[in-house]
Amino acid sequence: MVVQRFVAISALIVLFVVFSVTTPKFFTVQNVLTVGLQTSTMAFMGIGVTYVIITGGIDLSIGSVIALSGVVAGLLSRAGIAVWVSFLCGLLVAMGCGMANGLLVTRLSLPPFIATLGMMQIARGVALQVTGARAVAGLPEKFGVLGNGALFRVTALSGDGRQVVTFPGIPYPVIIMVVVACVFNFLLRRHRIGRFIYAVGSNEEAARLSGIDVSRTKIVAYLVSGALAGLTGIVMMSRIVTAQPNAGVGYELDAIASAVIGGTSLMGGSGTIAGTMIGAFIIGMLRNGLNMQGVSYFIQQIIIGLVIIAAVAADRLQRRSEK
Amino acid sequence: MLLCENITMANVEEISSRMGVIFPLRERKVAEHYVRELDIRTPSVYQVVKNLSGGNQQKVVVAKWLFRKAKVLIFDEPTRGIDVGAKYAIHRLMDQLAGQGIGIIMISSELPELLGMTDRILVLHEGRLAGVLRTRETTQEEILNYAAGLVSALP
Repeated sequence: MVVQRFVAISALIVLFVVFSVTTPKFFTVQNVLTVGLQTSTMAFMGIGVTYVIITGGIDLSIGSVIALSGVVAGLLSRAGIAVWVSFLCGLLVAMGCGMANGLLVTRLSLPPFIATLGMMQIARGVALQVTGARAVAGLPEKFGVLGNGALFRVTALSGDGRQVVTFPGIPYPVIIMVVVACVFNFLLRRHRIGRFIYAVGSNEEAARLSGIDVSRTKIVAYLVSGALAGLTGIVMMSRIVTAQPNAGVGYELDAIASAVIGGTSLMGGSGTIAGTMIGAFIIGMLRNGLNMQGVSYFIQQIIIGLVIIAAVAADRLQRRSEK
Repeated sequence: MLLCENITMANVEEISSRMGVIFPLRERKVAEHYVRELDIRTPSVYQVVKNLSGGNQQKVVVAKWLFRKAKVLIFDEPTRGIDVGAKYAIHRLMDQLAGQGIGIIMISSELPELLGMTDRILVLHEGRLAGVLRTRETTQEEILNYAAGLVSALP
């Protein structure tokens, strides 16, 4: 896994260099922050799903939970409730979905694939139903601050009296991404719950026999995944100041891809936040760079698919050679 | 997972704060203590347990329960399928632990092992206790009689 991370990080650097050299506007402060902004949502999802995958499970409901949390926040906000309260409610609903996933997997012993597949449909259905399948527009301006605001933004008056942005500032989502990454990395590496998560994923029976509460550990993992999906939904909808019930379709696959490229094994028991962040940035940078090169979205999809396969294949080959 | 992580797995509370944050230094000290105590052959306490030999892996498991301050240890077929050297090491370990006052219950189907290691032998027949024998006074034949249900000391 260490080699995997080495491969991933060098791939990231190579990509960065290649894009910087071949595309004029890539290596600018503006663009670097844009990449950060675009990658932040993928990072949130990736971190959440990493927790679940390490326990040996999977979470396919992320995309739908994104839509549901955003929609809840949007509807409440439009109804006059304070924006930050609406955000909190969206987050709580997302955590509720995560909790439900966790209970389905532990109490009913449903395979995570099935449980989260069902939740994926249910959450999407609820989001579409409560909005009548229409986007929630007409949201207060404050709704957009989280997704569009930035720290240290410097504007100045140019010669002809217009406001010019001299430094775009660090977008709030990027700041949140850094905080979230640090917190969840710390929890995984230095906290009891992280230890339990790795143990359950490594050998569930041995963990149980060692006195670890396997059910509670799994539920925590699904709660984290749900919460971070909720955060993603809120940030995403805040950026466009609209709540879309159709948002996030297929996002769970990008999240899983980030985790896998970063060295998280789908068998469970291994994976790191750092790795997932690298994976998320590889995908984010690929999207950004290829966009700037004018590559069609569909070809981007092909390339990303190839990258996923190459990343896991490289890991497998390396493991085989180790034996 | 790492050796030190395995050793502390059953008692993580002891090496972490009340909020649940683990103290890496404390964990390392604990692991080093048991590596010395049980003579676990490993390049470091951060070794991945999967890479250790079977006998040493067993010692890690024993260390785990010692760290939990278990008063009674149950060994279920501890020497099945391992080489003679490891077998001897496990026997010596069990003797050592018994000498420290830890109760050892060994489940085994190897009569020579039972006769060599134990003070008392509880023989089961079809899931029920057939007899309790003093190792010093019994023979393989007697044990087998009880095990086969030909004799029963209890109603």
